[in-house]
Amino acid sequence: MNQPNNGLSRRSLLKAAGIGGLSLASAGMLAGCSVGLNKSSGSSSTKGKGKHGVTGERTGKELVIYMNAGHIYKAYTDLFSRFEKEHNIKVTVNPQQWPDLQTKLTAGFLSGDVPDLCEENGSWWSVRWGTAGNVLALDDYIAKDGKAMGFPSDFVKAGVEVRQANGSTYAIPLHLTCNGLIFYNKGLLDAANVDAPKTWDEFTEACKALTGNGVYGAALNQDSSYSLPWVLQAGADYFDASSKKFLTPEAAAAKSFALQQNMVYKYKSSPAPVASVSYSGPQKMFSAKQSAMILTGPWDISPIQTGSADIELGIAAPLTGKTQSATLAGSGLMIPAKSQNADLAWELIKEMTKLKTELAVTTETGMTMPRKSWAENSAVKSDPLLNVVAKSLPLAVATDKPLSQNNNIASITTAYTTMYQQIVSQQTAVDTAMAKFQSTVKSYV
Amino acid sequence: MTLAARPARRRSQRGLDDRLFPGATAVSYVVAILLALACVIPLLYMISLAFQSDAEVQGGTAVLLPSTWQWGNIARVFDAAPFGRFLLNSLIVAGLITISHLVFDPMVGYVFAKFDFPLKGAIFTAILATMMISFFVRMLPLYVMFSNAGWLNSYQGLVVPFLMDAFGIFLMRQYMISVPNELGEAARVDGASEWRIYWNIVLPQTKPALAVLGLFSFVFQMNEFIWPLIATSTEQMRVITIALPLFNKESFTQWNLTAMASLLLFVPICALFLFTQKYVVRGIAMSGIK
Amino acid sequence: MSLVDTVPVVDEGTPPSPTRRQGRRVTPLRRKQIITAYLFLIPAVVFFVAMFFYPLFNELLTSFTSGLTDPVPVGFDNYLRALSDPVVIHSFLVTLEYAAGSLVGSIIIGLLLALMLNQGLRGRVVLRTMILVPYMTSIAIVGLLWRNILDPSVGILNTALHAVGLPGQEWLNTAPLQTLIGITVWQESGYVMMLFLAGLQAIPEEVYEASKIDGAGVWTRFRRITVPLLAPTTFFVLLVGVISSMQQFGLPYIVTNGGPGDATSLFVFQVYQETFTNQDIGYASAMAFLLLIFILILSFIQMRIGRRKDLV
Repeated sequence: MNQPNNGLSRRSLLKAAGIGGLSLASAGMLAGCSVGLNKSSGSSSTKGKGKHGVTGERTGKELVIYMNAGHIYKAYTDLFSRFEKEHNIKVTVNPQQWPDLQTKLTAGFLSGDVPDLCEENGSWWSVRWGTAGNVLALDDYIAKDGKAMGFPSDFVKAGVEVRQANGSTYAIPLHLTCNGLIFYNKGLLDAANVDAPKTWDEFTEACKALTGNGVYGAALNQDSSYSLPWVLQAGADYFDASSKKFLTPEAAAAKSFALQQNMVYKYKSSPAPVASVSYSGPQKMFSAKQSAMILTGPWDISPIQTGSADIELGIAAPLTGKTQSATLAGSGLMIPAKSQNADLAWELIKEMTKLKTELAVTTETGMTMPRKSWAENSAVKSDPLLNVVAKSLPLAVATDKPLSQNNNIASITTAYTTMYQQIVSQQTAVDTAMAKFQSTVKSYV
Repeated sequence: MTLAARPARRRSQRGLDDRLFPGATAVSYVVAILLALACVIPLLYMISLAFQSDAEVQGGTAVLLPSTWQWGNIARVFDAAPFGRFLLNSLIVAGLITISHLVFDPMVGYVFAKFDFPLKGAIFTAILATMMISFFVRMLPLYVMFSNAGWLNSYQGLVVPFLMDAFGIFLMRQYMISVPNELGEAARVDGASEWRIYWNIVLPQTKPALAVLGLFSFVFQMNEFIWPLIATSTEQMRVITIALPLFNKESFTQWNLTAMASLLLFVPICALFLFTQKYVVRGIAMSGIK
Repeated sequence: MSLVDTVPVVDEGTPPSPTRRQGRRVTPLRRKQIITAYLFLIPAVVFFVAMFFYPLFNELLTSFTSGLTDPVPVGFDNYLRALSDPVVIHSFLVTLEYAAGSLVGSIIIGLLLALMLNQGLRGRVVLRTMILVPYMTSIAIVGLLWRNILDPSVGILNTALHAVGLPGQEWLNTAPLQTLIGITVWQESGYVMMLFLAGLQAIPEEVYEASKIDGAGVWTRFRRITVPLLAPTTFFVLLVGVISSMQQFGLPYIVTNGGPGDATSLFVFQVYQETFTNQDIGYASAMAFLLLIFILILSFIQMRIGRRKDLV
C-alpha cells in the first residue's frame, strides 16, 4: 500500500536471494557429494622440471625473493646488485610483514606461483612446508658446497637443527637471535639509581622503582612468543615430547604468567599490551622513553638506535628465575620446490650467509648472526652490546622444535596466543586461561 | 520508480516545537550537529595528523593540530614509495571495473526488466544470491585459476573477478522497469534492431541510475584491499589501499605519513562524493543495497 | 522449474509487457524475444559461472578434503569437527554479538538522525553529507585511523581524557568487541539514516494530518504511524545488515588481529586464520560453507517472518 515501488523491489530481491540462494547451495552440496573428491593440489605444472625447482618464464631472467620488510638491509641490497651483474639476472625483492608473507606463500603453494627464494621466520615454516614437499630439501646442494661454506660446522647447532627433519635440511640460517634479553635505558636506570636486573626479583623491584612520571618500568609485548622466555626461566617446558604435555610443570608455568599479569595489573609497571599484528609496540614505547626496559632480542637494536639516538641503550643477559633461559629466534632462507631459479637461489644463499655479509649486516644494524666464526670475530667481541647477545645465544632454546612436524603446530600457537593475551590484556585468571588452553590443544597432539 | 523526479517534500511544518516540548527543534539541531561532527571529526583529525611533524606524532601525547603544517609530508610520501604509481594503479583498476559495470550491468538489468523467457527467475535468483557469498569463499580457487592463467600480478588479474556485480544489475533492473515500454515498441514496429532499441532508446533514459552505479562501483573498488594484497607481488602492480601499512616501520609507525597516504585515497573519493552526493543519496534510497 | 513460479520477478505492479499479453504460446515474436534475452545474458552467465559458481564449487570440493598439499577426501569430517569445535563456536557467537550490536546501534542512531533531519532542519543537506562521509571511506583507512585514535599511549582520545583529568582507557583491551561495534556504527549509521529518510518521505503527510485531527499526540503518532509504516524499511535494514555484518573481516584484520585473546575473532576472520595462519584449508572451506548456509537459512527465516507480517 505504502511506497509501492520500494516495497516491490525489496520483495523480489529478498525472495529471490533467500529462496534461490538456499536451493542453490543445496544443489551445490549434492553435486559436491557425488563428484570425486581428489582435487589435485596446486597447478599441474606442465613446465619442464629441472634438477631442482622448475623451469618457467622467469628462469634465467628474474630471481624473485620474498623477505621480511624489516630485513631489507643495505648490505643485502648491495649484494643483490652485485649478484645481478655477475649472473646477468634481475633480482626482485618483495618485502612483506611475516603474516602477509605467510598468506602469500600459502596461496602460492596452492597455485604454484612461488618466489625463487624466500626468507622464513625460524618457526615451523621450513620443516612443515619442507616435509610436505612445498620447499626444497637442500641436501644435494649441501653435499656439493657444504664443506666450502662451512655448513653445518660453522653454524650454531640450535639454529641448524630447527630447520632439519628426517635427516634433511630445509633452510639455511640467515639471522640467529634470541628473545628474552633485557634492553634498558641507562639514563632512566641511573636516574632511579637502579642496576640492570639479573633475577626475577631484581626485575620486579626495578620495575616498581622505575615506574612513574609517565614512564613504565617495562612494557610487555602483545606477541605471545615474547612470553616464552619467562616460561622457560620458571623451569617449565613449552612442550614436553615424552609426556606430550604443554607447559609442564603447570605450577611453574603458571608462576611465570602470574608474574607478567601482576606487572600489568598489580604493580602497574607495564601497560596492558594491545592486540595487533605487530610486535614492535614495546620497542616504540622504549624509543619514546615511555618504558625504561623491554624484554626482546637484537632485532630491536637498530630501530632504537636509529629512531632515538639520544637513548643510551644497555643490554643485559636473560633473567634468572629458577633457571637462566632465553628462546631461540631468527630467520633463514629456503627455496620453494617450484622455484624457477633454484640453482641461482642457492648461489645467492651462499653469498648472503658468508661471514663477510654477516659482519656487514651487523655493522649496519646490530643484527646477530648464526656463524660461530661471527661470534668469534673481534668486531663482535669488542662491541659491548653484541657481546652480551653473543654470550646469551647458547642459552637459547627452540621451543617449537619438538612440535615442528605436528600438523597442528600453527593452531597450537594460535591457542597459546589466545591464552597469553587473555592473561595480560584481559586480566583473565591464570588458571582459567591455562585450563582452556590445555583443553584446546589436547586434541592437537 | 520516479527516482529522478521524486518531489522534494517540505516538512518544515513538522517541526517538533509544538509537539514534544518547547525547544525540541533546538534540541534536534544540537543532537544532529553533534552526531554529524562525530562523523567527520575523526576524518578531520586524520588531515591534521597528515601534516604533523615526526616529533609531534612520536611524542608521548597526541597533538590536535600541527604547530606548523608540514607540507613537506606530501613529498615524503612520494619519496618513500612510488605512491603516484599506486594511485594510478588504483585509478586504472577501479576505472576499468567501473566501465565494465556501466557496460554490462545495464544490459543484464534490461533483460530482467523487460523480457520474459524460460529460466528467468532461476537466473535472476542465482545472480542475486552471489551477494551472500563472502569473497573469502571464492578467493583461493580464484587465486589458483588466475595463477594457472598467468594473470596474477597483472591488471586483468585485479579487474576480472569484479567485472559485473549483482548490486549493479539489480539497481539497473529496478530503474529500467520504470522506463515506458511504448518507447521500445514503437521502434520495434519501425524495424529497429533489439540492440538499437536498447542502446539508443532505453539506455539514455537511465542516466541518473548510471551515475549512481558508476559512483558506487568506483568508490567501492578504490577501497578494495584483500584481493590486491593476495594477487599482486611487485611494487609496479600495488594499489594504494595495500600500501597504507607501509609506514608501519619496525622502529615506529610514521602516523603522519600513514595519514598522508590515506589522504591520497580519501581526498579524491571524498571530492567525488561531494560533487555527486545528490545521486548517492538517491541511489541508496532507490535500491537500499550497498 | 518451480522457482519461476515462486519468485515473481516481474511484479504485478508493473504494466504487463507485450510478451505477457501473448501468453506462453511461442509465437515468432516471442521466440525472437527469448533469443534476444539470451544473447544479452551470455556475458553475465559466463562471468557469474566462471567467477562465482565455479570457484564456489571448487571450494566446496576442498571442504571435503584435508590439508594444503595432497588433499585426501575426508567426507563430512571437516563439517562435523567445526560444529563441535569450541574455537569455531566461540567465534560464531562473537560474530552474532557483533552483528546484533552493530545492527541495533546503527538502527537506533540512523533512525534518530532520520527523524531529526526529516523535520526540515536548515542545512540538512550539509548534515546529511557529513554523516555519510564515513560510509564512503575505505575500511583500510577507517581501521588504521581508529587504531591510532584509540591507542592507549599515543592516541588522541586518551590524550583528551588526560587533559580533562580523566584516567586513560584501554578500549581495545577492556571492551574490544564493543569498540569494533562502535566503529561499525560510526561508519554505517549514515547509510541506515538514508534508508529511513527514504522510508519517512514515502509516508503520506495526510496520514499524519488525519491523526492530528483525531487528537493523537506526538508519541502516539510515532508509535501508531511512523514505526509501523517504517517497518518494511527496518526489516530491509535488518536483512541486509545481517548479511553484511556476518561477513565482517576488515576491522578485526586491521584493528585487533582477532585479539586480545579470541575476543574479536569474527567468523570470517577465523576462516582467514584457519586458511593462512593454521594452514587448514579444508577446514576453513567447511567453515565458510557453514557460514553461507547459516546466512541463507537466517535470510530464509527472516523472509518467512517478514512475509507473515506483510513487510515484504
